[in-house]
Amino acid sequence: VNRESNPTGEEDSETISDSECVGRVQNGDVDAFEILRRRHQKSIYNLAYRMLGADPHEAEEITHVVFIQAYKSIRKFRGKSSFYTWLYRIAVNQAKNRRQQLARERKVFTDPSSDSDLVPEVVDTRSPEQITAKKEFWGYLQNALNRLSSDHCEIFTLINLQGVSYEDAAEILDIPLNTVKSRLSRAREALAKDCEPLLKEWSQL
Amino acid sequence: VKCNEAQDRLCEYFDKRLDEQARAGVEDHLFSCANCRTEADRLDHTNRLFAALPQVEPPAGFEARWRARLQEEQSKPNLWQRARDVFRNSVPVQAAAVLLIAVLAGFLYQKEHVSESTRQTAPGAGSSEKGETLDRAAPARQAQRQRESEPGTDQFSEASRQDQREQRLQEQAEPKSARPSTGSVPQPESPAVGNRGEYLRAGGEMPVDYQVVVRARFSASDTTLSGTRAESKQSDVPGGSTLSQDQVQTLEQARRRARETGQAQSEVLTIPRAHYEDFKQGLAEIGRVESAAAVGMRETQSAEHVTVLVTIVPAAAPAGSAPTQPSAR
Repeated sequence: VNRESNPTGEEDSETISDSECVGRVQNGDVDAFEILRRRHQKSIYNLAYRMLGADPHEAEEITHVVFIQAYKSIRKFRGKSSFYTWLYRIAVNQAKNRRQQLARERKVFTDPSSDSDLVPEVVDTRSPEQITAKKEFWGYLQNALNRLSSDHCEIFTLINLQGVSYEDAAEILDIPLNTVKSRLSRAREALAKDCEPLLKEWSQL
Repeated sequence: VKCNEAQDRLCEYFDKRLDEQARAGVEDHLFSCANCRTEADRLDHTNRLFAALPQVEPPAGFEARWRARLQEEQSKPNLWQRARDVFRNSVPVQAAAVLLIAVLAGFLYQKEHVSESTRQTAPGAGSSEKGETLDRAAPARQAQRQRESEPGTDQFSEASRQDQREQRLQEQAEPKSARPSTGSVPQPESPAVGNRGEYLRAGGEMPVDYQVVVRARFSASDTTLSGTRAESKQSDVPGGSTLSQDQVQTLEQARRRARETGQAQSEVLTIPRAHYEDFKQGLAEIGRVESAAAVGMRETQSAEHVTVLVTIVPAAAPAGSAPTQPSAR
């Protein structure tokens, strides 16, 4: 990444590295924090969205909370890990806490879904019925995620849905690499079991 | 490659984390094992199903709401400012703060005070009924405090231990001395004369700078301070007398009481600091000074006057057989 050649301007916000942004924020540059926020916002939002039952309000709230917390504590960030794993750690903790709170209050993540006999439509076409079918299909998958334990949901969301490496996941969750592997394996197994009807349909296609 | 081995590696296999050799091992096993192949298919399909879940965009208005949130956060007073505002706007909080400071100050004062009174207590130092109850309770309290504070880091601990040693020595020599005297002589006219009994009656304990124990002579001869020492001193010392007439009388009376009752008598006198040494020598007129110790390091050290607790111990009979003690200083 070329940092020196372009000290100002729009392009700068795309080429400047996370760690340099962090340094600027630590020196009081609020705009540099906005660069980081825009860069990572979608990932954080999607992580929260999937961990919190695809509820956009919950996801937005958690995203805001994560970035406020990051803004307030970025002075303490020492750069031992990368900024993004540091940020993800905040996000996972916030989302997990909220998920457990919601589970206690509404039992939303423990009730079995009513649409488990839904026949999925995987073909990507644009007819309204098929779009509806696709949304139902996503809802089916989301329900399966909702039924996972928090530990399984977070590891599966990080690695399968966010594309985080095993090593980074270990750092984010503060667990050994072998635990990442075994936990991911059990999460996938649980989802495979939960999605059995869907998989049967799949194999008949 | 065995079945469990292959299944353990399926995650990494599908995530393309295995090296060439491990990958070939898993594939060979899947080729030959139908069960593991079924399991691998399940997992593969599951991965693909969930890969169909789309990444979503934050909803409309997200940016505006974020900016508002950030602004709100930036304008929020920090913890210190909030505490300051609460303090400024709330009378109960202010009252509580004042109370807290008062209690704290009281606590510190009392702590200091008790450690002072540790040194003040001499054997038989009670001079009234009330004084006795206070005095008897005090040594136990003080002993406990001193045990708690040992090994002490405070500046008093060494002095305290020294005083304790002195007390022990004196207690050994004077086993039944801890009795109240019959009374004390009121000294209403002279503010320079402190009277321990009066002070204790008023509910306090008087901090003293020096503690002097005098063993009265057994001799019945009436060598008096007023007759010899003090009066001559009055003329010797320019700019003021070592002892006022009242003080001389006080000591005389204490000595008399000691002789008559056979019990220790204590008086507290306030004298000019510069006269302390002379005063001590003057006490030799009425008896042998067995110990004279500076107790504690009072804040009034720089003051012009010092307070001396004089304890007059009656002579042990018969004359001349008084137990010899190592002198304290």
